[in-house]
Amino acid sequence: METLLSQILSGHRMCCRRGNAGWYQPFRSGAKKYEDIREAKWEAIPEWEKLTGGYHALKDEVKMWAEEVRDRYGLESLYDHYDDGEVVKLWDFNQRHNGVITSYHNRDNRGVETNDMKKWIIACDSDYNEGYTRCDWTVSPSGRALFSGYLDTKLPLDGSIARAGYAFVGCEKKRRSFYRQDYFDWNSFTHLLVRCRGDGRNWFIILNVSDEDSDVSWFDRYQYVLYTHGGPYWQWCKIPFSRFYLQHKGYAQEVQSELPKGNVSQIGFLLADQYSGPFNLEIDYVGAIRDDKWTEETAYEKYYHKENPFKSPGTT
Amino acid sequence: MNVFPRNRYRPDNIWAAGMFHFPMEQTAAVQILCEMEKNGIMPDKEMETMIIEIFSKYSSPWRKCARMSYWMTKFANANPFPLPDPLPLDALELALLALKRMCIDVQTKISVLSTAQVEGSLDKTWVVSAQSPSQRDLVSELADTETVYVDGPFKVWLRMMNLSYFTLRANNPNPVFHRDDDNIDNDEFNDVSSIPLSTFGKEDRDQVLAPKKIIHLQDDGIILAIAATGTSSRDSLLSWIRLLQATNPKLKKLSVVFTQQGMSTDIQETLADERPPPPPLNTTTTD
Repeated sequence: METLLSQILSGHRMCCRRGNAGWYQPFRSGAKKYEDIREAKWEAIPEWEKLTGGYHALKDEVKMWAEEVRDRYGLESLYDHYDDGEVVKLWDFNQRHNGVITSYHNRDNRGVETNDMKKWIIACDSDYNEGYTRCDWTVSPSGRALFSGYLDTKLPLDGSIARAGYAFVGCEKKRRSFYRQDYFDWNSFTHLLVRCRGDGRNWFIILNVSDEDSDVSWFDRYQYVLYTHGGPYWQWCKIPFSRFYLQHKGYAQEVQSELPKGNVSQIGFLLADQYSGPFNLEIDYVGAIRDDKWTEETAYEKYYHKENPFKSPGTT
Repeated sequence: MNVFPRNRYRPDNIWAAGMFHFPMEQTAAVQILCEMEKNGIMPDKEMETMIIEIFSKYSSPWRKCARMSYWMTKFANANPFPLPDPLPLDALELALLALKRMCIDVQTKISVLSTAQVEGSLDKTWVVSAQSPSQRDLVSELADTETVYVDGPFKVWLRMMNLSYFTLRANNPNPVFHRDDDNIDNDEFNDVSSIPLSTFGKEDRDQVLAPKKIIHLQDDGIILAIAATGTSSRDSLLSWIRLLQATNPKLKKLSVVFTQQGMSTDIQETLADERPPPPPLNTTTTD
């Protein structure tokens, strides 16, 4: 648990200045090397595939747009009312429910294949040549989603990496048709639920609250820890949204505010606890619940301490 | 941190404070604090007064120190399954900790046994076995023709230590996939509309008040016991079953299937030479 803090504690960005600290974010993906990797992947696709892929993408986007128009002007009410204490499954990874609409985000799918597992993506440091972690997103023997692999903290020796080893599984960013930004609307919920079977390792739950239009928020994430105890028993974790804290590029911020529940575009689980070895996390579902007895807005103090030198005049 | 001279790096005016004067020294102090953070050490009062004496409270090291104090105290007790600090390095004690964490039935009894008690055992080692009375009842309720499986080795992590454990499992004939049995607000526990009464032919008072076995009835099997052994070898598992037969006489009649394929040691530390070879790295030129 202690080395988790190295992730969650804030380091003053000025102290790690490499000449590019500041508010301006030149690259959407964080650094030029990631842009280069994306460019290389794009260049690698043959021209013909780009044309046919574009045509199919256009068809899909128009279909999505038509559904959105129908939703907006249609007769069905999109306002969902959930009872106090009712468990709402946001993503249901139980493979037995593949043909059935059981999850919140699938309820708009009209006849489309309802396998929530296909909507989730994985990433690890070896994808960006920053490490040697391996990860897989498969179906477990008991019919749920299993994120497993080997977390490796060995450093690639290219001179620019100080710490290696992370693995991430998360949903694709919510979007409207034609790649416009959209958010999940979780305003009616107070807690996040995860029914999972871990192996004793602690995972970070990361909520992406970035806004595509404002680059200062591109790397803002709300984060909390999913503690697992391992073992063959399923674990049902209920984490209040108020306990998530804001971090920017991994550094916990001094000024905390409540999580904007209507502004989340992505959720994911990150493993970065610097212990080399195999990991696995079996997830049954990720859900939300509304608990009317929970009134906390944020678990972190919003006021400034009177000793804080930047908030009050004082002598050195 | 004591190496820094006092009265030298304190800012004289607002510009010195705001413009990050003495960047190398401040960066060095922050790096020291980063190392402390990485190892989970919170700065104490002595460190705080030292930093304020050296750099003043308008400096980066002080800001970092204050943040560390805040966030570390926030998350010090956040883990609902805490482990002692420092963690014991002995395999037996780790196994005890791991099983205590893993077994969510509060009535679980964790016993430390020795394979030497079983005659004919080749491995002389310890066995930590965890079973609750509900699980014992479930074993005795199994039909004589049922098979039970010894599954494993599964891995469980206790901070940086890795342990293998095995489970004794029977097939669940009626798996329930939609139940949230950990949800304490679950209506089926609070439902008073049809309480079974023994006067109407339902269960006895003692049966109804018995501890819930439902927690062990998972949809991929009924968990009957969990164990960890010193050598995690097949022979030690066989001894475990023999030892379990003392409290679960039904086990003598049931057929036990071991689903292991190979040998493994219980504490696995990844050594440099044991790690699989890394894939070739595409070095990108740095700017």
